[in-house]
Amino acid sequence: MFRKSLFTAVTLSSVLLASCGGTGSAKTITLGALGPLTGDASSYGIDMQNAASLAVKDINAAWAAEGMTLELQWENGACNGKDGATAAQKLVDVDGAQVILGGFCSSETLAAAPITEAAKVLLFSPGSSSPDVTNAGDYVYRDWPSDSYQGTKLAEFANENGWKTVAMVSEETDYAKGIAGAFTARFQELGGTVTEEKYLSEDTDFKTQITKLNAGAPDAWFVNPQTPVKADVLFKQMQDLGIEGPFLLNDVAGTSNDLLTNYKDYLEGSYTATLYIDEESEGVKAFKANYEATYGSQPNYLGYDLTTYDAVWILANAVLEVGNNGEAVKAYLDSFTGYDGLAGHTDFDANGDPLAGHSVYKIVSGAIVKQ
Amino acid sequence: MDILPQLLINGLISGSTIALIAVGLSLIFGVLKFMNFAHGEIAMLGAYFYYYFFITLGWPVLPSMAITVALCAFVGFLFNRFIFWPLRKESQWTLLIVSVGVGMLIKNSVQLVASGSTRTYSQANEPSVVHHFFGDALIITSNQILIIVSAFVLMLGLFFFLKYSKLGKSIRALSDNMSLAGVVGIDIRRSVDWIFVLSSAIAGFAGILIAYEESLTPNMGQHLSILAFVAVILGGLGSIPGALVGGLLIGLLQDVGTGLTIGGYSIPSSYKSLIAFSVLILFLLFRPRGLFGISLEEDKSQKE
Repeated sequence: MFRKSLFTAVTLSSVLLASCGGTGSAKTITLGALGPLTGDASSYGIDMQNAASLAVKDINAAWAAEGMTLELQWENGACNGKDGATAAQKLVDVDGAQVILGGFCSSETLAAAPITEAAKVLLFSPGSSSPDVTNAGDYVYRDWPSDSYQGTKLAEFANENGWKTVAMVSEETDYAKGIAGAFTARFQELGGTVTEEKYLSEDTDFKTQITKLNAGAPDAWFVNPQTPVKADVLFKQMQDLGIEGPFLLNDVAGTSNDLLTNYKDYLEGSYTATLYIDEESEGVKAFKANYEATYGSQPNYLGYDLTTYDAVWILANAVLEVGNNGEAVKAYLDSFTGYDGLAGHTDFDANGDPLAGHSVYKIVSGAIVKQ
Repeated sequence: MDILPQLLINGLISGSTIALIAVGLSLIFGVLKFMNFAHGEIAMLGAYFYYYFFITLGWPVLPSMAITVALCAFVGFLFNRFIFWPLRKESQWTLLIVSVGVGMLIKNSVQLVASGSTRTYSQANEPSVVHHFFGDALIITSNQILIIVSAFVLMLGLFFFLKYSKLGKSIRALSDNMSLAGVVGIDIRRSVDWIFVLSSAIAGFAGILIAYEESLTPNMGQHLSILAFVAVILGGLGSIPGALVGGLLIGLLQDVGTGLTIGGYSIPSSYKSLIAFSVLILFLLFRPRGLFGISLEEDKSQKE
């Protein structure tokens, strides 16, 4: 039932768009929003903002009858803890936000959590995947699965392929560390060996790391960066140094359309693990069409866009029912029976983590194919 | 598999790029006696100018390079004429702090115009031309060879230019004693202009090479300035061969130091900067004049 109404909202949104602009509404609900709007990770932040705006548009169309409007107040977390904390502080103290969509990067969410917890503000991330977010606080929820799934899935997959040694190059960030930790733990449990080399986010030359890892003649490589641009430099330097796969890629390196196109031949036959999205579903097709009609391009990170879109709807439904109050929304989510959105069925465990997980995908001529 | 040859080459590549920035820093120091912390930003500017002409406008490689180098030289000239030259009589600390400010100005302007995200030239989709030596023990791309060769050629050219050309001789005279050089009729302002033009052109060119090899971000300049500063201290203040050797040494120490595993132990690669700055501190403590520099006492006596 809900799904149907949501679908109608998506398809009608472009028609209704004209009618919801500029009408001074009696009641406006403002939610905080926190994401990386500048820096290397802004490519996610902009996608997140676009997807959230589409959701807001659709929600306002659905709410028009009741004379309600939803608004998002954005702050920039710049994909790091320092800016994430400042942004959360501002949303909580200055803007008086009770419910915040975000952060996007795990570093933002983990830094924002202590601030929102203390103020009993609900923090809902559509993209943070660090396993640490699981225990970040009682008021912290997310609809993007923890990387412990991603790391574990790829480790089991590598083991099934008979690979015994994996060379991993990781960025020193919460997201990449989460994946590296989960992968290494599971792969070692299964009898494999992982050699890891790290780099700092400000580093730009990875030839030493690659040369060092290649000396161990690994069975497979695991490329684990925080942002697509770092993946780009890594792929280029690996290619220059004659490194050949098989490659396991985290979902940043393995699902960016630009990278899959630019390194089509090099990445052929690589594997990645990401949240399962049914791209053939009517809702997703309509979302993609709507996104392209509004922003002039296909979404670069469809998975994150869909969890963002769903997250805004979940929060909107919550505040509509129980009011714009952190504690009330927490109670609502705790007695939640699930939401059928574009990214599939979302429901939470006791820690506020989604119950759905990752699936392994193979890269075939520049596209990801579910295994 | 023995990775030492590859590590040496990796070090030589990054060392050459540092040397190209360091040589300009050293030239400017030689004459105006201050560390120009805006110098690395010129390299960053070069990387972005080239991005604009080569990627955004789609020009061919050589014209894009030529105009980039020319623009960087012009920016260097402007900075000298309007900022550093008028302040030349101030203390070196004033100049140093001004240069830090100028650096921030350039960095933030680029950030404003081009956004802070990291970019690469890989949209051009030119596959690297890769050369293999000794089986696969040493792999190097044509671009990397270009980096190393151009560093040496530019350095050699600069060395002969300073030694034999008239302008080169006047630059050397200036760095020995500016007021005396003025007395014998050297056009000081023109010579200092040329120093900025030359060193900025080299830095702009180095910026393109670095961005090809790695990536470009508005933050890259600051990092380059600091590494070049370390190279200049190592090589000896004001010494051109010193800047070359210092740059190469920093590159080699960073890559070989973090790349080698000795007796099961190795320094993690993410600690590259630790090596550079440990070396800097050791030199400042035990050999402040650097490898090729003159001692501060001698320098003072020359100035007075």
